[in-house]
Amino acid sequence: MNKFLRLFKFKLNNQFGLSSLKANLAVPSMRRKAYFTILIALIILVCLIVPYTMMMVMLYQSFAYLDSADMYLKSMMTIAQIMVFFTVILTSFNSMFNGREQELLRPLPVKREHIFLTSYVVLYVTALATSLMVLIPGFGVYMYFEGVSIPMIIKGLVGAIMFPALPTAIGTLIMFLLMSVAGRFKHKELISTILSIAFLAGYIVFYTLMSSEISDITTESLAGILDSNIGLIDVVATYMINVFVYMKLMGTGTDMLIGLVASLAIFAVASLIMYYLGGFLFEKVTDKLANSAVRKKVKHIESKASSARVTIIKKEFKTMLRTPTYVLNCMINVIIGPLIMVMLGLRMKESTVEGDTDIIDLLSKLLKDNQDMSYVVCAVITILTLFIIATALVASTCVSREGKSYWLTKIMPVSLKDQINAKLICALIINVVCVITMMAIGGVMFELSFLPVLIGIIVCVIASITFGDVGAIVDVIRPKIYWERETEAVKQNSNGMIAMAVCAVIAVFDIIPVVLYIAGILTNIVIVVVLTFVIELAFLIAGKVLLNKIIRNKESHL
Amino acid sequence: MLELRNITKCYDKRKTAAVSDLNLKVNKGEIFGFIGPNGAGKTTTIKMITDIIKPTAGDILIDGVNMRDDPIKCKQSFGYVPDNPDVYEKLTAREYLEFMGDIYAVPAKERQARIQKYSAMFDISNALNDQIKSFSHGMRQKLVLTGALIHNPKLWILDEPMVGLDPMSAHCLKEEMKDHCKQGNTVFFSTHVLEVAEKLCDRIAIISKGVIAAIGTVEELKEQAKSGDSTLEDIFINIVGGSGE
Repeated sequence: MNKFLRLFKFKLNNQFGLSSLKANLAVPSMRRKAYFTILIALIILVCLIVPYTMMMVMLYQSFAYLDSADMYLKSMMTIAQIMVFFTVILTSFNSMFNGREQELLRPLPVKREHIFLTSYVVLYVTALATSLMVLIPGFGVYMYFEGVSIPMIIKGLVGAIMFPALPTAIGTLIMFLLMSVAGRFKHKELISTILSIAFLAGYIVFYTLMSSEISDITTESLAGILDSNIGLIDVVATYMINVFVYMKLMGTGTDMLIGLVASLAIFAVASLIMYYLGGFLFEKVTDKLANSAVRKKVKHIESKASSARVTIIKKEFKTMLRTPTYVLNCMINVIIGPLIMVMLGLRMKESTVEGDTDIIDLLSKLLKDNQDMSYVVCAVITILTLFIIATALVASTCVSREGKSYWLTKIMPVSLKDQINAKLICALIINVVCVITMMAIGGVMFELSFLPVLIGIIVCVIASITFGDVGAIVDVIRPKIYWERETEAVKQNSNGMIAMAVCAVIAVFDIIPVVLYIAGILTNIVIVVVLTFVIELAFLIAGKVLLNKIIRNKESHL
Repeated sequence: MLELRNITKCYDKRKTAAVSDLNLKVNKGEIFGFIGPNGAGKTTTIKMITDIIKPTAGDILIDGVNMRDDPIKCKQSFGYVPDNPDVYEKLTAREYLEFMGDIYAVPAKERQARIQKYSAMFDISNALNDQIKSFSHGMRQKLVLTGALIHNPKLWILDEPMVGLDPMSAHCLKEEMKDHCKQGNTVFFSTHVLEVAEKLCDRIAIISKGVIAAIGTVEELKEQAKSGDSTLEDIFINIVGGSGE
C-alpha cells in the first residue's frame, strides 16, 4: 500500500507538472517562472469557467422560463458526463500508453497491476477536475437563483466525487479496444493522428454550430428550442445512468437514499471492474502493441540522394506527421483555419436578412456593385488568416523538438543558419497550405475576384515568413532541449506563447492600413495595399536581420 | 590528424574547470584511446572536439583545420558516435541512414554499399524498415555507428562505442577500427574497458580531473608509472589514484 501511494503521488505530481513547479518555487532564480506558470494556469481556468458559467446562466433561465428547473440540472449533468467521457478518451492514451514510463516502472519492485491502477487513479483525478469545471458553475448558478442550500452543497459534492467513475471506466475500456485494434497496424501513430484530427474537427464543428445557435439567441427562443427537445433530453439523461442516479441523489427522502446507494454501487462496481479487470486488459493490450512491432523482411530499396536542406525538410515533416502531439499542436492551424472559414460561411448562409436573401448573397451583390468592398471583405478574411497563422507552433519549437537528438544538429556539417532555414521552410509550407485554403474558401464563398484574393495570399505569405523568423528567434535563444514527452516540447513550452504574442502584435501593425481605411482616414485602396506591404516588408527585413544575428551569436558562443 | 591546444572548459563561473589546459596530438594511422574515471572530463573533451560545446579557451585542429575558422570542413572530416545513441525515433533506420547520407553528401551508390556493408556487419539489415523507437539500446548504437561511418570519414570519434554491442558486433567494430587505421586514417575513442584499450590502442591518454595524467603507448605508460609487467588496469589505478591524492 505504501509503494502504491508513493507511486501514485509521483505520477500525480508529474501528470500535472506539480513536481517541476515545486522545484522551481524552491529555487529563488526560478520563482518568477513558477509564478508565471501559476498565473497562466489561473488565466486558463478563468477562461474556461467564465464561458461555462455564462452558458449555464442562459440554460437555467431558459428552463426556468419553461418552469422546469429539474431539466436544467439534468442537462447540466449530461453535459458534464459527455465532457468527462471525451476527456478520458483523449487523456488515457498519453497517461497509460507512455512507453518510456512503462520501461522505467516495470523493473521496479511494484506490482504490475499497481502501475496500471496508479495511472487509472490519476486519470480519474483528471476526469474529476473536468466534471467539477462544469458542475461547480452549474450548481453555483442553480443555487444563485434557487437559493443556497447546505444539504444540496453536500449532496452535490458527494455526487461529484463519484460521478466520473462510470464514464472513466467506460472511456478507458473503449481506449483499450481502440488500442487493441490499432495494434494490428504498423504505423499506429498515423491512426491515432487521423483519429485525433477527426475528433478535433468534429469538436470544432459541434462547438461552432452550438455557439452559432446560442450566440445571439434570447432566453425565449432558447426555451423554445429546449421545449421542442425536452423529451430527447429526458430520454438521454435517463439512459445515462450516472445522470439518472445523480438526479435521484439531489432529490429528498427515499429518492435521495436510492440515489446515494445507487451512486455508491456504481462507483464500487466501476472501481472493482477496473481494479480486477483493468490491469489484466491493460497487459493484454500492451503485449499486443509490442508484438505488432514484428520485424518484416526488408525489401531492397534504392538509395536516392538529395541535398542537406531537402533532407532536413523531409525529416521535419516525417517526424511531425508521425507524432500526434506535434500534429495537433503545430499543424492545428491547417485544420482549424479552413474549418472556421467553412463554418463561418455556413453560419452566414443560415442567417437571413431582408426575407429570403442570406448574408452571403447580400454581400456578393454588394461586392459586384462595389469593387472596393471586395477588398474590404478580402481584408477581413486576410486578418482572420493572419491571426490563425500567428498561432502556429512549428517555427517556435523547431529547435526544441530536436530534444535529445540535439547533438546531431551540432555535429552535422551544415551550418546552423542552413538548418534553421530548412526548418523555417517546413513551417512556411504548413502556413501556406493554411493560407491558400482559407483564402480560397473565403474567395469562393464571397465570390471575390482574383486580384484581392491574390493580394490577401501574398500578405499572409509574407507575414508567415516573418512569423516563422520570430518563432525561430525565440527558440534559438532559449530552446527547450530536455524533455521526456513531446507535449513538453510543444504545448508545455513557453516559447510558443511568447512567439504567438509577438506575432499577434505584428499582425496588429499589419492591419493598421485596413483599419484606417474602414475608419475613413485612408480612402484609396491602392495606398492601403501599398502601406500594408511596406509595413510587412519592414518587419520581414527586421526579422531576418535579427535572426541571422542571433544565429551568428549562437554559433560563436555555444 | 587531431590536435588539441590548451583546451579549457569552465561551466558557469565555477572555479574548477571541467577540462583544464589540455594538450593532445593524435597522429594519422593511430588508434588513440582516451580513458579516465567517471567525471574526469572525457565526454566534455569529446564534445568540444565535435563542436557540441565550445571550449572556454584553446584551439582544436582537425586535419590541420581550426574548428573556430572552418567548423563545417572540420565536421565533414569526422564521424562521431556519442555515448547515448539518441536519434530521431520517429524515423525508420533506413530513413535515418539516408538522412545522414544526404547531410554528408554521400553519393547514392556509395551510401547504398556502406549501408549494406555495415548493416550486415552489425546484423541490423532486417530492422532497416522499422522505426528507431522500437530499437533496443544496442541496436541504436549499431545504427548510430553505421550512420557515423556512412561518409567514410578520416577520423572516427567514438565515445564508449562498445557499450550495448554484442560480442560479435564489438569484434567486428574492433577489426574495422584496425583496418581503418591501416589505411592511414585515425580512430579516437573513449572506453571504460581497459582490456580493449590495451589490446587495440597504439597510444592512450589517461585523463583525471580535467587534466591529462599520462599519455603514451602502453609501454611508455608502464615506464611512467614505474610498473614493469602490470596491466593497463594497474597502471590506470596507479596513475589516477596517485593524481587523486
